[in-house]
Amino acid sequence: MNLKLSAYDENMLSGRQGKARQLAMETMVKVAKAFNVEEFTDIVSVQTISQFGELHVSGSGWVERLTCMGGKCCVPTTQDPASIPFSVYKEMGYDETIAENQLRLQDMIIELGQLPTWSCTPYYQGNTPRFGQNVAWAESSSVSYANSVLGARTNRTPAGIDLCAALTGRIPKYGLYLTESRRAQIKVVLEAGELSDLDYNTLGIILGKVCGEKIPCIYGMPPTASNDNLKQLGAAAASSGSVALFHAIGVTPEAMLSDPFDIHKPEDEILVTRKMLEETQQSLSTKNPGDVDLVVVGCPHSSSSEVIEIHKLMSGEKVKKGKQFWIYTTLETESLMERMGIVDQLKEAGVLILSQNCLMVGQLVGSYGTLMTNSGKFASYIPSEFAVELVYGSTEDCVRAVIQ
Amino acid sequence: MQSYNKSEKVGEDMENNIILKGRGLNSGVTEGEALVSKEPLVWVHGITPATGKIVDVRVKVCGENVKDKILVYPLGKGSTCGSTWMLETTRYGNAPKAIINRETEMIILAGVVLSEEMYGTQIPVVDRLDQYPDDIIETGDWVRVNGDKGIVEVIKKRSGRD
Repeated sequence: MNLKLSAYDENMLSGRQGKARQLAMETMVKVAKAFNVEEFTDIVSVQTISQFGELHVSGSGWVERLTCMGGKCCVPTTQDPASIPFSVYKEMGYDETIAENQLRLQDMIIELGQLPTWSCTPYYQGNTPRFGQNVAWAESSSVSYANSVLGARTNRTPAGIDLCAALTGRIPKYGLYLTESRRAQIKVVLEAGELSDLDYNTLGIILGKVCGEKIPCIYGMPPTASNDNLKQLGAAAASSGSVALFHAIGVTPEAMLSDPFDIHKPEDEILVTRKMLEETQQSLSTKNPGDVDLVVVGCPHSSSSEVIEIHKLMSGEKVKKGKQFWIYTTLETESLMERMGIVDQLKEAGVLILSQNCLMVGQLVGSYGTLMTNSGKFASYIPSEFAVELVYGSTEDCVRAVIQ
Repeated sequence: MQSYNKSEKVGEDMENNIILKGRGLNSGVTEGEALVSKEPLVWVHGITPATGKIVDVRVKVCGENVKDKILVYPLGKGSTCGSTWMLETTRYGNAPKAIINRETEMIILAGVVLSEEMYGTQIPVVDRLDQYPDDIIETGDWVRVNGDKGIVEVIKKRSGRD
């Protein structure tokens, strides 16, 4: 198999469209050739990794090289959360070197023409591809959402290659861009009755463990599952495993159009019961619920509905002295909440809103014995990243843990 | 180009050399001591770029160092940032000499391609060998990797190289 390049690809490779596009194309061609990819495909949007915590000095150097060559994004391009919350990093005492590097990266991505959204939920910010469209997104939870919930198509685009795709509007066509690679492999039968918001997170953790990088199809998911539920489920499955696409009968778009297994038999079949959900839920906590020093929510970034729910649950109470409650969200959501008066009330109650940032790519400023979260993804990463105990529970329990 | 004609080798027990054939994903020829993980490896937060040390407490090879090793593991796991974590490991001079997988992720190959582009470090990568490399190769074995031809030659530890 030989790589067939279009006239447009050849033109970029020749350097006639500038050095940045030439280097971006050359880099992707190397990767495409190694994997015997036959051709490139157009993409309609990109989500990049542009946080210093993941790019480090070397990856930032790569972004800088393409910026200095005059690179410009030719499709709408957003990026994952930054390593600092831009509006409050100083007062919170974030590491200055990291902050400087992140601010330099922000200048560069703006120079490149990226929209400085800094969120893992680009689909809530207008980077919203239609069914069947190809995109090149990095960051596992947004990849899962694009593929599964929107029915758009993307691989887990490698950091560094994401920018090449943004500068050229092209990506090697392999993996999940191909219809035959999107077929379900594992049949998951859900017999657990009504599902709480937390259950979707827990189900995601189970899916990731059972499927690894394979594609599950879930039978028995309530059609009432919200976008936020699917966001949480996908993020969890992409953290305990590498699930980049899941189908759910009656819920996700590809499963509505055709049988996700096509004419093939499932490679494996599992039954998820209430008991399994409960056991998995318990296993995610490293200690029994009790004293909690810090609650972290917003992984992936909290939607407006999720912030409103926290505001309601606080019901005028304040975060107890010695405890903290942090919400990671988008600047757009914060702005909406501000106009509703919710931000002021939450701040008054002692809740900290960290927009455009994430604990996993940022910093745990301060020292804490026990963290609590309502996110399956946070729960699968926090115990190995930080020397803390972790409690995993519902949003309601998270709020209760700091106000009582 | 290195030859794999057995008669050219000296000082080895010929019977113990194993030749595996697979897919060469990144070119280059090198040899070195194997570090083998039978479990999938995570680069992001799993390997510290500044030291080359494996710090993921969930894997048995935790505490080992990938620097200058022929790194063998079944497959990659985890985030799409594996490429830049691997690139940063190269920047510190702590990259493995070569990588051998059952199936290599494009994320790691991207890290390898960028390592060469940014720092001129060539890291041969071979996968899809005719036998599972993590079954055949053991930590401490001497391994020759030909990334152009997709050939891996294993000289078992007990044959005198250790």
